[in-house]
Amino acid sequence: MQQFIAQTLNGLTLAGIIFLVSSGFTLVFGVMRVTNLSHGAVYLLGGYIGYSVITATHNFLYGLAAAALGMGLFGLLMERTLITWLKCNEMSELLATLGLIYVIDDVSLAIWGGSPLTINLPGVLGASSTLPISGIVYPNDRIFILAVSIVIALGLYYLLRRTRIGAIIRAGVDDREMVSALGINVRLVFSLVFTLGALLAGFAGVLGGTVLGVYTGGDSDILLFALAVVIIGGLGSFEGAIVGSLIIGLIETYGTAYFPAVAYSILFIPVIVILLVKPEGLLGKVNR
Amino acid sequence: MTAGPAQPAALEADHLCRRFRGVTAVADVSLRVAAGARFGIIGPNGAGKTTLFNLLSGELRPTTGSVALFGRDITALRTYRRAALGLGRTFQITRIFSDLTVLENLTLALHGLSRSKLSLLRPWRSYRAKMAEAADLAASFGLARRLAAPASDLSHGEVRELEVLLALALKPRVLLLDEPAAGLSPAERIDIQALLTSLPAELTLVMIEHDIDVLRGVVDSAAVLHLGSLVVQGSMRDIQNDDRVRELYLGGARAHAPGTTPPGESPSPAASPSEARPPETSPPSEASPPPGPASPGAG
Amino acid sequence: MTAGGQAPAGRASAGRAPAVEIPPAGPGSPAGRGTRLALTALRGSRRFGGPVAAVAVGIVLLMLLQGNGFASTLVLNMLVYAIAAMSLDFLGGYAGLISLGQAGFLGVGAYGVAIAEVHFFSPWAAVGIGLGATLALGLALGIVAVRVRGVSFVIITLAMGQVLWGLAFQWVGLSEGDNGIPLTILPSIGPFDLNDPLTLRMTVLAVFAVVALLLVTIVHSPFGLSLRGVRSNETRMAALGYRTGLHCYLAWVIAVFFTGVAGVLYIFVNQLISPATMAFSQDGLLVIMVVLGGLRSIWGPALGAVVIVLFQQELSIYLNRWQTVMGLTLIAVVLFSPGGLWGLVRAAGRRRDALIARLEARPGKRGGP
Repeated sequence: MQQFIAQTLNGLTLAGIIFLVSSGFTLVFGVMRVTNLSHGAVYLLGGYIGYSVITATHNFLYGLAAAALGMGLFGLLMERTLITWLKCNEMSELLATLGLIYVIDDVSLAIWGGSPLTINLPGVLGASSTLPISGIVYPNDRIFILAVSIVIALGLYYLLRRTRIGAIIRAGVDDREMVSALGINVRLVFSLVFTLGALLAGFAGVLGGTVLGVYTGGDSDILLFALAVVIIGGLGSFEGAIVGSLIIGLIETYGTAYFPAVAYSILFIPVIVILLVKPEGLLGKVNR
Repeated sequence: MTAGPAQPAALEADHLCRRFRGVTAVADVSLRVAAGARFGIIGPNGAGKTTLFNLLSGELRPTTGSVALFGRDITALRTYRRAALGLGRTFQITRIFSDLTVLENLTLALHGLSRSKLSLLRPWRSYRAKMAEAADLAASFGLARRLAAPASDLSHGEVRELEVLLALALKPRVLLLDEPAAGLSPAERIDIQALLTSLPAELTLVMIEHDIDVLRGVVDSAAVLHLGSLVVQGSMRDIQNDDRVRELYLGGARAHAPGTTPPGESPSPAASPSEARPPETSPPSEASPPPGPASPGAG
Repeated sequence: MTAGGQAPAGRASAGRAPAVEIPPAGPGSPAGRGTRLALTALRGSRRFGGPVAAVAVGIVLLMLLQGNGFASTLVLNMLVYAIAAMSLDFLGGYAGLISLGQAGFLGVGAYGVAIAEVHFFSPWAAVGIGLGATLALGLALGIVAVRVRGVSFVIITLAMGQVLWGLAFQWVGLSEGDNGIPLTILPSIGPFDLNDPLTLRMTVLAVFAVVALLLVTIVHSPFGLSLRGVRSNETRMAALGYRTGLHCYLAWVIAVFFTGVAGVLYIFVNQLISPATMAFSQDGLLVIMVVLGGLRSIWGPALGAVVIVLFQQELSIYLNRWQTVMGLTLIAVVLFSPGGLWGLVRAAGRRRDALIARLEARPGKRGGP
């Protein structure tokens, strides 16, 4: 039983990291109709940058900031050049981001090498504590990640539901032409959303680097999770990203714990179920 | 226009209703179109006309109600099955294959109801009969010299013609035409009207159209929709004289609220300018010579 | 509009212009002769260029395959990946269903053969199992995959490919994990022995030719046209009576099957299969082959496979960062030449047609414009 609770917490932690990555991905798709396959690579690069900064400065927060801001800037550059040049051609944008994966992965390999790296949280966050009620000893870094993810999720929810810019973003997901017709600077909204997505991914890369490690292939792993999330939750849906992340995070963790041989494939089961029953995702929109 | 009770109607809608998350696009519409009839569907923007067509042709499922084709219930059938049963349709926003040539467009249409569409090893150009048929179809509408052209090169009028041709290639028994004249110049409208009146008499036509001249030359009865409901149905003369229709198009309260276009129905680009100047084009009684006593408020 | 020569009014001019007879000799001036010569050359190249190039390529391939071990292995791998790339073009270029998981099916074909032999099946039975497993998987997964289109399809196939890779990696009991499985015995029947290098090379070349011709034939059939229709306007196809889901499913099964064939050949040629062959980077490389070669051309992706395999084997020796080059190549093609290499060939063909039309319109020829 204690094991089960610990695994559940692990699953929620993983769900938090996955949510940070997939929320950016789904919003970018929803608003801009861009499928950014390099999103996973941005996550990984964020992890690498965070690692270097933390190693150099011994300051976790500097690392977080560097990764988030660095990847945010990268995202802005990417949007202003590549995405703009491809002028809303969905498949071309997808293919270009696919090409970008190779570039980012290879450059990362050149700079940081192929060995896995781990980021350690300083001080009390690196230790473990005993949880109330169940008496389990649980690592603080995971609790920290879970807490941060929840805070950011709430923050994003507030941004989307309670602010004007959030309303514009949601309107853009619904009807891009109408938003433009209302005189809103759609270009600016695009840049904002894309930058935010990259920022979140870079941030998540550092957090993920603590519990999952920073390693070659980490981008494919996280990308696969994020894609499973958007299929289940619905492309473009923020709430769908939350629901999907919970499902995928928990299933993946239970799977690895109890069925290690086929753990990788278990997350396929909810994906198949959704495709058979509701192909547009739990909270997705039908294209009619 | 008369169909005896023994003969099933070509197309029948029975209490059709379609709701989208709180918006009722089509509310309890019942229609009966006799075989060989020329039937029009009229109404202001947002009235639910295209949604109704989507229900009839299978792109949408009704929330309640049923559709029957020559007495056969087709409500549960998907679009391709309805096409096989003789229901053809054109689209308001044209759906041709713009990256294919006109010949390829027509070839696709001609193989649609034939087993040859699953033929893997024989070149489609070797089907001589179908190639000749495609040439004939194109020639009948003046597109013979455009066969090799990519469909994206066609003028808007030619695109509308191709749109109708694709539907006709299936030799339908009932043809649904969604605003065939939308966006056409006056000269092109005359062409389209000639095309429509030249269609075989056995073919049942149901047409959505805003242009009253095109309508009057083609249909003999119609139904008027407003906000998803059927206002009146009958001969063109009856509709022109109906008080509710007059009030709809001329009356004090503006007939429709702008921006309430339900999902699935796009505002017709041609209709918008005409809707903005209602006295000139919309109501049946306006553009025609007065059928009897001068209509009040004629402008 | 295009094509040289005017089709006589009333005759349906289908796509390519019919061969135009050479007009009677005009005035014997040097300019007239020069123009006639140029016209003959250009028209000849239009009519015979394709077959001549094919024969030339065939001869080059045969020569390379006679040569020493390394060159021929390189060419064989090019042919194997060409088969997979052409299948991907069939599915992605024509039907519009771009799959980022084909390397997974290639792996299933290869692993099927290897695992079967490990379990003491005869070599021919192993081939059957490899192909059968790929086909079965394709039939099953296709039901799910074709329920979506466009970007969602890309995503679901990516996931499928990754899951298959994950199985190869983690199901160590079956796949021996990261070590991979070697293959020692190739099938033979009577005098036909694939263990003999020459026989194997000729067989791979033959299979490549058969698959290529099959795909080209299917693409020009009514079914092939229907796939282009589905890609172009699926709603219209449904209104025309097509069961679009069925057509997409069939295209998927065909593509997956041929990719399985490529997988079987892969392990014959390389005599080893490991999870690395199914990694995401390999899925991406297949897409790069297709896009670089030219979507919707079948032959283009084969050419793309040649280039990419060459890069992968040769460039990686001189350049550590060849993966970066791969990525930048894809981006460059997408930005500057979306039609790929074959698109350049087609553009050259169009310029030739325009030139022919201009030359034919000169005075002294067939009565001018």
